[in-house]
Amino acid sequence: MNTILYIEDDHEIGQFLKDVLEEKGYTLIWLNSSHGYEAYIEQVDLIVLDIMMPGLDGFTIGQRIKEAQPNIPILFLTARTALEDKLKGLGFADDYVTKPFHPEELQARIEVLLRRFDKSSISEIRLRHLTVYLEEKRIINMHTGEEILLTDKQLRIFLFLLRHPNQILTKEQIYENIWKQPFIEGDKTLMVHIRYLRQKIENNPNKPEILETIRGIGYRIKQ
Amino acid sequence: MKLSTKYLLNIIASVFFFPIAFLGVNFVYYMTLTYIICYQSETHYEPGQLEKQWTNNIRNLKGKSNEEIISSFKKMKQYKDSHVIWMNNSGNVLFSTSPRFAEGKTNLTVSDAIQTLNQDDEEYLLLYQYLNGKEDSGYAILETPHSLIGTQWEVMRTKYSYLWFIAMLAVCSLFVFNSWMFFKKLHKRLIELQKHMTKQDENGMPKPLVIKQFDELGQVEHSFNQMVDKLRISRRKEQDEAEIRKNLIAGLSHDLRTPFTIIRGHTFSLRDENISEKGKHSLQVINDKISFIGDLIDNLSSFTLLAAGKLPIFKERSDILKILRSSLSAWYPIFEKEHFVIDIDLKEPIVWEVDETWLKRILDNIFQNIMRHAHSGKFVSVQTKRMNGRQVLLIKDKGPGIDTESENKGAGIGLSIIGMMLKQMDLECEVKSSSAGTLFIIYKG
Repeated sequence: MNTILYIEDDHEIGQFLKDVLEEKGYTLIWLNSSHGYEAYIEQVDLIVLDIMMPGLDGFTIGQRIKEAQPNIPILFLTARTALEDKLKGLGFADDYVTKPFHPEELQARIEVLLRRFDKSSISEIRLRHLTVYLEEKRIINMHTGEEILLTDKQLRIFLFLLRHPNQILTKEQIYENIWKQPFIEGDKTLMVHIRYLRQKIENNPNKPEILETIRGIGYRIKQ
Repeated sequence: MKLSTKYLLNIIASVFFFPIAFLGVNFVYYMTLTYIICYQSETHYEPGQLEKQWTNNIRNLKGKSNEEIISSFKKMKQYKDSHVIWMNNSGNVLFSTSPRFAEGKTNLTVSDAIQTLNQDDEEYLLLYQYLNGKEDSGYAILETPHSLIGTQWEVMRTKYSYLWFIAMLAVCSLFVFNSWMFFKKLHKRLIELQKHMTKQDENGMPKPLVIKQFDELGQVEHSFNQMVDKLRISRRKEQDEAEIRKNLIAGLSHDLRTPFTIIRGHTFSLRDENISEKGKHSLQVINDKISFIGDLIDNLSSFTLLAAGKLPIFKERSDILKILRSSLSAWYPIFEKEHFVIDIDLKEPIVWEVDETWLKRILDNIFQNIMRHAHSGKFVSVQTKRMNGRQVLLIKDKGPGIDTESENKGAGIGLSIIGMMLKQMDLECEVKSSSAGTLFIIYKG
């Protein structure tokens, strides 16, 4: 399972979260302060950071880690709820959760981040009649046992949605991530690609079960 | 130098300047005339000489015939600038170069002649001489313009006197010009000062002036600079105080949140214990209240900052649909989990000048209110469309309405924040609330 570095000065919160996350199967390294965090950077998959701490604050540490290791996702877990703090944090970090938090929500967000950074220890995902092998980027239809071949764009859309499970991705987000161009209102390109993608992965493309359309917002893959 | 000193010096200089200038002009004028006389002679008649000459000329004509006399008159080139008139005793004009005595005019009485001549007494010098001819006798009159009478010097002076007046006028204008320049300079500096006072730097503060002259205006500029300094100091102080207040609020909010996080942690741990349904329900209520207080603290700190105008705003033209979709993508699962009917219809593309984070905050507050207070309606609708020719954003629920006592009070502060934020982004908000639901209509004011 994944290893998480957790920096938190409050003893009670720290102990509680350590227990919760370890119970879910993560290996947790919990530090009381930023002192000596560098030693663990190489071996962790994700970092959960508090902001207000004695010594260096979370913003500074987060920025330093991002500069040194841009591939490690950072999640702020903090009581700082001001808009500017959120913006400042999200300027370089990957998620921002405010206290008091729901432990399940935090865990879900950690899982999403790990997936997004391809750090998840899960190598295959089952989606109804599909099995997706993430590392090989292969999709097998379990009913027929055949591999489903997608075009480059279709695969990228599919994997992008899969990396954000249960999250609604807006048309802009998908389009801008795949095509690397600003989305123009009314553009039908994405819709067309989704239609062809559904023809390949859905049992009944007219009643999609895997790739949901959220009317007016975007698309989602529920897991 | 003081301005008043400068002004006095100007006045004194001009007072002294005038007589000096007068002398100077005269000197130059006479020098010029002398110079001209040396190189150019001007027609002039000295009165005694002229009379003597005229008497001689007439005497020489004595006893000659009319024809001879007239041809002699015609030959007298020395009188080319004067008029010669000869009339006989019976009043006939025998010869005339004057336009007033037509040649050949007859029967002129003595009084007629004298009257006509006297008319121009002012302008002309008249010399009468009785001429006894062979055929006719009468007065020969020489009519010479006064301006030609006198020494050459006097004649020249009269002729070029306009030059003297022009020179004097020029000198006087010089003084007027000097005074005008003095006030013009003052005027220019005042205008520049006024312009500078209205200019502001990026912090909305006037810039200090560079003082070039230490006169009264310089003192005003100096005072202005002092004022700017004071303003800067007080602005800095105000910013520091705002910073302190912000930090205080942030600190308080943090200190309140930490224990709530711990409480939530414990309620979470309790779930695994063997507790009754009633106990589980209590835990759920505690959890909900913790979230509620968390949001309330958030709203309170936002409200304080917003009311003091300390919440930073960065307005830019933004695609409202994009912001809506982004906000909705986060809220959709929450509504979905509570089995809401979600109706999203974003037909009308809208571009408004807004701060994206602010608008998201507004939407968050509205959706949170729906979640908390309109939960019973199990319905939320978000639309963009044209209504009465304007683009509107509609958010609707089927809850019990805002005025109804909700289980969770405290919607007030959330609504106030929505109102204040919208107002600062020049957006209008109409809220129509009844027992059948609440409708937010947001549009550009």
